[in-house]
Amino acid sequence: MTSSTAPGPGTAHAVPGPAGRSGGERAARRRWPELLLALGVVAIGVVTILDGVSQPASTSASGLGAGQFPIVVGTLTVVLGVLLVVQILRGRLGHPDAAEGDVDTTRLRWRQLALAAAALVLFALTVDVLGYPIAAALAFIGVAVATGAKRWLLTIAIAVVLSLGVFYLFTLLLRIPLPAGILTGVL
Amino acid sequence: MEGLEGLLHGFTVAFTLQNLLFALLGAFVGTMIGVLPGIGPALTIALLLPMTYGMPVASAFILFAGIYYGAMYGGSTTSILLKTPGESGSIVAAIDGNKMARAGRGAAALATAAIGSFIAGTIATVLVALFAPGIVDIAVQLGARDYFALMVVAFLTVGALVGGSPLRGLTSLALGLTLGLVGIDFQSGQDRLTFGMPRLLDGIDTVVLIVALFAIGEVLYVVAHQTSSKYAVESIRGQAWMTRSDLRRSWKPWLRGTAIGFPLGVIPAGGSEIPTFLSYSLEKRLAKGERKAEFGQGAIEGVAGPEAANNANAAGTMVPLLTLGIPTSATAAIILVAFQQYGLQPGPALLSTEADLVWGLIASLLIGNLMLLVLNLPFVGLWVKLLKIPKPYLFAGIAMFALLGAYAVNGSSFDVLLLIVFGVVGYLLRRFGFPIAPVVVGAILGPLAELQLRRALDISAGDATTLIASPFSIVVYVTLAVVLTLPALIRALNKRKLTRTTMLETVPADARDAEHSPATHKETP
Repeated sequence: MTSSTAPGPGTAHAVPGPAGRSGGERAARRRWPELLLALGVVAIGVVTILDGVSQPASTSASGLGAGQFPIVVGTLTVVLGVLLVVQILRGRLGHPDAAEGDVDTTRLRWRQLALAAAALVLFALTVDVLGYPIAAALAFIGVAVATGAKRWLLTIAIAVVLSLGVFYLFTLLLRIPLPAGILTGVL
Repeated sequence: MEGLEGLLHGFTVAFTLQNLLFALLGAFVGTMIGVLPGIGPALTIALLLPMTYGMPVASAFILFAGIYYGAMYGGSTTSILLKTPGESGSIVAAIDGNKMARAGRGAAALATAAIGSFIAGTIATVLVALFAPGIVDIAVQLGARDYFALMVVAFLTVGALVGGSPLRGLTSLALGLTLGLVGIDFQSGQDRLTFGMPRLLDGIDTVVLIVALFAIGEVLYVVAHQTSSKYAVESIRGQAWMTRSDLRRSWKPWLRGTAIGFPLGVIPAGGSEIPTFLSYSLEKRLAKGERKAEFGQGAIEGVAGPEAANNANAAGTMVPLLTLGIPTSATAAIILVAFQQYGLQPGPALLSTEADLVWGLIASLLIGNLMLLVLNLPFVGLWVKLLKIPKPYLFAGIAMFALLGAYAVNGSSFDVLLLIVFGVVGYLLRRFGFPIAPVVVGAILGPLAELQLRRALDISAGDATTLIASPFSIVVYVTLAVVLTLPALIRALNKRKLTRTTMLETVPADARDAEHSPATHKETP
């Protein structure tokens, strides 16, 4: 995102953080997550190259088999990842997405993030057993609470109405099957 | 079939009661979803894809046409009243639009955005119809190496020009290309990057990938970093629509925005960020006297121009998509996926084999555009009410529909797990300033590029010089080299002449960062 066009949120990382820390220390503290990400990019590239190298030789007219394109893509990824590492070590960090409104990336609400992620994973693990309506309602409640929903009864009511509404819309009107799970026969 | 003739034919396809209803439904739903904060057109279409799985193909595409433009209109409402653009093309218009809304001129800003979008969308869509047959005539003569050249252009421009940093954009692209590799190789039948998981043999479903990167990534980003669980929506109650002076100030920016946006959409120039930005700086430069000082504080030209450029640009991307099968934006990539779901591959053949479909789609874009103007001007108050949905329920709803979308593709919970994994990737990309669009374009266009590359090299028996041996590919690569080196060249020349005031606007983001970071440290107490 060009920070020039969105002076507000784009420069959120420039807002002075908690008092008492020197600028250099703060920058170093914030640098490592991004550094890890860049090293991850390098690792993805290496894995892709290895996968390409292990492909059998080609029998086609060009001599190009399943392996060459992955090797090219993997090499590109490694080069870009290394350049990123260099750029980050020089202190040029990325600008967080400026397209969203009020966000402050200097603070990570990790408890809420974990709750939202857990709600999503719970859906994946339970949708086939408990059925779509229950799994979806649970996911809705989890994400809503993580985003700051305070009124429990209202949240549960909306979750139930919405998940049942979607279930009937898809199974009856659009004729796309969704599992009813333990509610089979009830719905 | 020539352009106008085809368009008339398209209207005969679109003008059935059922298809008009689908266009209206699409415009309605598209606006409704698009107006929700943080949801751009690409995500709107991705979320609504599962709805169309049971529909006949023509109706589905007419629905998409309405959804596409509807989401664009809805997005501008959000960016003006809430300053939450949700997509990069609306960022520029959000600056002055939101300032106008705060000064009690929100209704005028919405009106100039809506009418400007209508005019730009209409002109640009007619131009699509006029241009498409001519480009198809050229496209049918192109060989595999020419297509490969065009795809290289799309990769480099989307990667290097979207977002502030070329390095980060290209990294996103490389990740997208890697994702596109997963699955069985089309030619040799070998499996690549599947890590022994049979579920990955078919590759990563593109709908799952798109919904994950845009919707789940967004939800996690907001959950992790929101500063308030409420939105501050500006009111437009009781405000006058455009005055005579507003109209006089708006019409030229509308047309100039269209003129900038459309060509930059047709050539793969990498997203709607650049045309909207160009339009804004052009209007600022053309403004006289005290109006120049209004820019950044709520100048109506600063909303009218970029909004028109954004819509004309979106329509322009339809040209390479429909005639060459090359998507140059995230939204175009999703429409390509929608075509693929029905077993159709956009490209030069599509216009003759599926003439009804393509012309019906183009005609529906025009009809949908008109419907949107009607839906938007009088009913904007209704859409504003949607912005009052409490943020927790809004994002829980987005997450729920994303889970549904991923699950409904194949009825498999493995896809839902993939959705979550790529959702986390989408979060990380957002958080650390990597653009999302190049990932999507890379994942979808990568396999097509590999296909053309290997086809070209099979024909030449492995001689790589064939790639730059056709006149068309030479022209393409030379143009690409000029386009990519031009900004650096201009910068170097400008530096010699020493800075003029206009320089401030053209300084690259990276250079500004360098000035920016030392200042940050000084602010620390």
